[in-house]
Amino acid sequence: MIILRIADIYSPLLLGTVGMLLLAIALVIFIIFHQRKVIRYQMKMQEMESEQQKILLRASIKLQEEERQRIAADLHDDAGPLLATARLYLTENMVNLDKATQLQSIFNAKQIIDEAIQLIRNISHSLMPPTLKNFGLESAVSDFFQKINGSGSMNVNSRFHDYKVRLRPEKELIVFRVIQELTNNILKHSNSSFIHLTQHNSDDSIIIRMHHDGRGLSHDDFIKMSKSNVGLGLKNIQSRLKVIHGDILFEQDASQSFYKVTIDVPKEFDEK
Amino acid sequence: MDTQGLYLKFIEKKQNFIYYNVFLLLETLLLLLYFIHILKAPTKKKVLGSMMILAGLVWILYFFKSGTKDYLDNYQIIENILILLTVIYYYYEQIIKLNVNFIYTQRSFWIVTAYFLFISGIFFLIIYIPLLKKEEKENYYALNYVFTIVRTIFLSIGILMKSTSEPVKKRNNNSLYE
Repeated sequence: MIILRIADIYSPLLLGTVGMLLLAIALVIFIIFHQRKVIRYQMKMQEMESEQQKILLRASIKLQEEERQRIAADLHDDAGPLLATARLYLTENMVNLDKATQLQSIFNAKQIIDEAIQLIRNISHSLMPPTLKNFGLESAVSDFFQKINGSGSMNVNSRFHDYKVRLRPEKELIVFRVIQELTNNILKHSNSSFIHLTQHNSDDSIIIRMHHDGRGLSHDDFIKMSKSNVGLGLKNIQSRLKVIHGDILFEQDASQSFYKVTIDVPKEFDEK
Repeated sequence: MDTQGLYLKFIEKKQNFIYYNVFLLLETLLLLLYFIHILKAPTKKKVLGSMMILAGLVWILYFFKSGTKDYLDNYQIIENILILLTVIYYYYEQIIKLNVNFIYTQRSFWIVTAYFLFISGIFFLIIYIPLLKKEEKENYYALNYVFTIVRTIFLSIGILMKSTSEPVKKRNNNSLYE
């Protein structure tokens, strides 16, 4: 139908059309390849994130199992024999008709029951420290540090600069457990002479910082260990903080003489 | 539509400009409506709605000036620019917004690309055609038919393909202990 002459091929109209078409095709090809690349990258990231979540979940399940085993052991090994002994005394009381022996065995049974009550109270306190429940994070941390100071092995102190509005109880418990875990790690591995904990507020979060002068971790070490099969405590810290959308940063002081760990916990509307 | 145009031109030996020009407006409005349907931007209704009003006003202006006697070349240039801008925004959105599907598994991609290639192909033709002689016009107008075929092929793929909303690859998250 149409035969274009050589001169027509070089006309601005044809050249423009070819140029525009090439641009359009190049754009479409670029978009296809770029989008493929982005989607593949996203999928890889998702897989890595999912793997990390699995590790955290496993650590959390392991922690729960260990906690259950500890409670079961406490109940079975301590509370069980105590209550069995108390039962024995009371059975003996029913058989023995001697008044004085009866009184003695009732007294013994009462003492054993008191001991069992104390034991159960201790188990309950280890699950939810009463100071934390009644007086908040500041008092619980102070109480916990006092106990460590009492041993005389290390100087541990805390200073809360602005903690007028308490975090929600479940959040306080998580933060307290993280502080406990970090303190235990410092006590076990760092060989430091002191731990100093401070608390500050930013606009949207509460910031808790722990300093110590022993051997510490860099943030890279923390990430490496929390991804590996070792470092269950660190994985627990990470999974606990994930629940409250908190962050943690391990770093060395500018003077290179101290290590510090910073915990950043976002505040809800009613916690501001 | 173009089949009808060809019929009018070659069989009936007449050109119905009113018919062509009304189609131009309908084409713009329907394409912009389709973009409102496929774009994800929160302001899409406002922006594309304004573009529809603008296109309508410009069309009325040109139509009452010469729309019954001549083809509205100038209006078609404006239409093409509006559609090109929207198409480029569509591609930009496909890159920027997180998407679980490859772009070519979506029906909208083929439909938009059909119009993108068509408009890119005939853009210079539309600009230059008022400057050409009658014989040259007929020669170069072949480009319109070539790109109409390309557009139809892409549209057919878009219409016939099964658009998928499923992710490309499902990850296996069944077990924690796999």
